[in-house]
Amino acid sequence: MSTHQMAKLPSRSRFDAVAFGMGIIQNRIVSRLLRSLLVGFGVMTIAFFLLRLVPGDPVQLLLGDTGTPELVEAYRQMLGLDGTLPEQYLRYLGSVMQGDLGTSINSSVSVNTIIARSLPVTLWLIAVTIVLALALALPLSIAAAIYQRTWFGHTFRVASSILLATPVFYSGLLLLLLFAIQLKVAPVAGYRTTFPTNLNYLWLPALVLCGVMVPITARVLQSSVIDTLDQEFVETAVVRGLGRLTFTWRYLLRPSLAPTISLLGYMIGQLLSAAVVVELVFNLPGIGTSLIVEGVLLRDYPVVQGIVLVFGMIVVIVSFLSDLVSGWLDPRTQT
Amino acid sequence: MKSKAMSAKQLLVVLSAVLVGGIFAACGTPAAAPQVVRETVVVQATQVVRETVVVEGTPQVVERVVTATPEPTSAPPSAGEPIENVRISINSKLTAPDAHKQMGLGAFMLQYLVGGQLFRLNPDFSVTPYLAEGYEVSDDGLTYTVKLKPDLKFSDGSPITAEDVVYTFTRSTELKNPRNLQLGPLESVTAVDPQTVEFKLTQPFPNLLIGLADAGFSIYPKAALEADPDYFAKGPFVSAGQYVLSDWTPGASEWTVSENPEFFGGPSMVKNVTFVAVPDQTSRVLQVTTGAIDYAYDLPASARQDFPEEVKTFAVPILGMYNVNFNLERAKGQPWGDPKVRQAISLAIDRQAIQDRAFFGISPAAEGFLYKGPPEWIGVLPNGGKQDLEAAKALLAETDWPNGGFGFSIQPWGQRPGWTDAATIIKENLAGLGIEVTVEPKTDADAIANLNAGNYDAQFSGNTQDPLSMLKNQFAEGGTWTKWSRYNNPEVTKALVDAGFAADQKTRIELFHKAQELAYGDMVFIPISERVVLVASRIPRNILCEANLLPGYNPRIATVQEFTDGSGPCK
Repeated sequence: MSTHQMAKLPSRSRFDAVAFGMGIIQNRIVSRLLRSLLVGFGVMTIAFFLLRLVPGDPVQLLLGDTGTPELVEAYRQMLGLDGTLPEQYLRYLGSVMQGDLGTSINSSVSVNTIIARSLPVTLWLIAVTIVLALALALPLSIAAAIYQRTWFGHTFRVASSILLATPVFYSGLLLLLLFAIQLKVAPVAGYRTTFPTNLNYLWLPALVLCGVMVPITARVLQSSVIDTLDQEFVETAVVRGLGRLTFTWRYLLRPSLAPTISLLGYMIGQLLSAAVVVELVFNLPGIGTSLIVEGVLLRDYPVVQGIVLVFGMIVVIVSFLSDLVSGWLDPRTQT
Repeated sequence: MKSKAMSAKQLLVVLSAVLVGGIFAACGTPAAAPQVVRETVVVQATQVVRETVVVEGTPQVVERVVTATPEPTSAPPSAGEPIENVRISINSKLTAPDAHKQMGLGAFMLQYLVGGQLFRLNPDFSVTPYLAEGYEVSDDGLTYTVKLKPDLKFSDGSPITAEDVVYTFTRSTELKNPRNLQLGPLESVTAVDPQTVEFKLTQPFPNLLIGLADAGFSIYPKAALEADPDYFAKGPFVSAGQYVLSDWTPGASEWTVSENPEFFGGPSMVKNVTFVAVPDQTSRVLQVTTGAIDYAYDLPASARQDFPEEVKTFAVPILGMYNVNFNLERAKGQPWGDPKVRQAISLAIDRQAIQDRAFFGISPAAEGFLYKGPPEWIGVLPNGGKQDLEAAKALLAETDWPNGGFGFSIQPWGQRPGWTDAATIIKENLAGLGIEVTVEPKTDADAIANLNAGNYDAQFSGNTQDPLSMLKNQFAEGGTWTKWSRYNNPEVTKALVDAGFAADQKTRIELFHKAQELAYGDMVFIPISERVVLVASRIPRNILCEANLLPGYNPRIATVQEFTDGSGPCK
């Protein structure tokens, strides 16, 4: 809570002020949760209707040239694709309310099962990417901030621009050629679910995704660090002769991290969409592969709807969490 | 401080150098990237050999022409040792392994390995008894009596009886199995005794045996399926075939089949087969190149020359054809609505160039509406299907558009390798007739949507079925492709329907040939080449054959595989 807000409450005791502050936080949480639910509902509805505007009949696609009119009709009934669009939507809504995202038209597997199998792979990929990206971005950004007017600062800017401009499918193929084919230090495709074996399949795709993450986070962090370096408390810390680690974390990084954490929250959507492509390049059986291969290409409505809903919820939840973490790291962001 | 700062700088220089070097290294060497395009020709060595033979006690020198096709050099002779596990990558996951529902490629391949059907098909579309010991047909052609092999058992040790066969076909009917069409006018299936099943038809239908060999009619254990409504969601699975599905969970990208200890034809050379779903073709190429996978199915033909020595490629015909199919509704009032114009287009197409440049030598150029081999085939295309630009121009001169001067679009199914290239070659060919073609690749979903909506001039498409089904599907009333092309020729329909029901083989073949000749007159489908899938394997050919590990897209025809090395189908 800022001193500005405290000044508005002159008659309250400190206890009341804390309770009031907690109430505000609770209200914010409830409000964000309600917004998240609304966003989820919106995403689900838009996905449902947009999909049906796209040309391509899933039943015809499923049956191919064996699809006589009678068989197509029978399959529509079996798959719950008969009736008007509002009827189908209400049926779908009812199922979702009960936690049932439907059944894949193509594979007859429950969408919940498909997501439960593929989501962990994607979450692992994103987690490894974030760890790797932070491990690369933190030292790079600090160095780029400190040596901003040297050759290193210039190289950093040029390299990050090149990385940002490189599509992940291209960098993915290049790194696949280098590490999997030439050096043979990574598998060309596939996945193992057990930890830590799965890291062997994840580090290279994560490195590719870092091409999206690192330039942005490092640049934002660099600019935050440059701002922080101008602060008086940094000079004080230098004068006090603090240890390098304490100085770097408490006086340089922590006050500079909040915008980066907020950015991470917003970047999760971008990361998810990049992960879809990277999963296809590396054949990781993640949610992106399920979305494209099992969902979009086969017009498998329930699969696409379910995955889009999950994507939307992930973005909402992560941006909510990143707001909370940013607030903890730098209380100024809560004002 | 300065010295420390300098060391940090030096570190950064080193790191940057490594990064830049890595990127250059990645760009530098082409490795196994399928960039190089070369043509492979099956090499046959022909030699004149002089032999001395003794004829009626007198030595004579005679000349004999010897033609030898080299054996695959890297395929070692079978050591007779079984292989514990083979890993195969294909393009799709295993959908519910229920043969009575619509199946993807994974499920098709699975049915071929774990499914026990009554018969299996031979290259000439005759059948070989599989679970059946033999069959008899009544004089009127309406009753087929099939006797099961003695002492057949499912993988759980329970006996395979006629009751299981009846249950299988009854369930298939109840579940509206799309493949029921293969059974024609089937009226009933009854168990005569525990070893004998009777199939009754309302009309004679010689193709019934081909239908009984379909993967959609794997025989299921009645007791196990009736006891568990969720049988196909979780198993444990019981098999009447060579393998049993031993490890699979719904939605998983890997699954394993293991040898069925009760299989009548066992033991198998390969004890376990693990399938890995890898949707991307290039990844499948890389997997087999690096040895991560033993066998990869459905690869881009352009990659065939880029495998290391120890990897052999095979072309697997899937008994289908590539065609250019026209939309006759759109063609009304258009130049290409004239059958003569379409025939001229057919004459102008360089099928050999398509075979060489689009399919890299693995898909033989078409000479008729069917793949060569079965007796139903007839070479209806003039000049053996070879390009004849002069004849095309002469034919076009008989129409209202002697110099072309019109255009239409071809929609290739863009996700399939080579299809767009083939359409582009056709575009080049037709420019010679003054016809301007626009190539508009579509995804499978869009292409099928356009077929239904009639939103296309022409497509570059593929069809894969047995001769009767394929021709009826394309040309007879009620066929899906007939509907999609808005085609209707009662004479063709009658010839094909009569052919389907003709009990006499000679009459049947004559009707097939007549139908194709009539269809050539209409030229709504222009056949381009035969459909073939490229596979690459680290497993020697003899073991692949022995273990029946060469499934095509349509597993009913699994015995028809030809090898690009000329060694012929598995014996």
